[in-house]
Amino acid sequence: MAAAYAIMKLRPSARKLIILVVEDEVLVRTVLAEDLRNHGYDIVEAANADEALSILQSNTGIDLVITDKRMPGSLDGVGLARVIRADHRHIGLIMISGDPLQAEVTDVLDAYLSKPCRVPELLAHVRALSPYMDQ
Amino acid sequence: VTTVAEAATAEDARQTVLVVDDEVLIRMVISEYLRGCGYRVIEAASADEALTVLQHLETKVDVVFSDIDMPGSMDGFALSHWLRANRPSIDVILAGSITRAADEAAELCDAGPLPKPYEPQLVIDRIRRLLAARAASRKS
Repeated sequence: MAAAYAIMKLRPSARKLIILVVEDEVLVRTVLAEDLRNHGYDIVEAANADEALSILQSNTGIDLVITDKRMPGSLDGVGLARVIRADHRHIGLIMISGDPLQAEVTDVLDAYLSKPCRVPELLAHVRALSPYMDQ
Repeated sequence: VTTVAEAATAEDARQTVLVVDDEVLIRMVISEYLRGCGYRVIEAASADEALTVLQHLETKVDVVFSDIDMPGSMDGFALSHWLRANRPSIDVILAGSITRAADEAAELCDAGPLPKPYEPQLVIDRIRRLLAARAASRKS
């Protein structure tokens, strides 16, 4: 855990945190993204892991990824988390899951939450990951 | 001091644009631009997602801003037909290219509550830069 945590802590910048929200259910994604925007974060939305990788590959400056676990497509949330840990080590990673997560998955995450996701709990994790960028 | 009720009223007064595009980099940049003009923006990655939003989200959508070519059960034209039949009060903007999307977004921005944050050419440049960065990243 917390590979990205230490690195993010070192960044003295006060700019807005850019968070990528990856969720295939559009209503859940919309509400979560809007909640986070209302708390002052810059939110980028992806409907699946492929879209998330597109965004990460295009140098969009993402600081933190919040991903659902179960998603259709070539990669689910666990696959996406592994790619992020391999190719984008500095990016924070939070997973939201309806199922229990195995240790080999939680080891690559900075935090994980069970569904249904409670926004205050999620925000607490986001703030813990970004002490110098808090709004 | 703004009360919660006042904030909610201000929130409700904002016009809502539903941006529908299966190319995430275009959808992201157009959505950011429209948010910069003061619109509330909901993003849909397909016409199917757009229908889910229109049928289930308790938000009144004022404008649907959609790509034309999209995979799935409906393209932009079919979505536009559905809207005309089922939600005739919603304005529909169809944009089939990056240039067209940026120009249409700029026009919508001119009617928005805040001044345009930047010229549409910068929207086009940003999308092209992101697409090029992704292509370079996939080659390496």
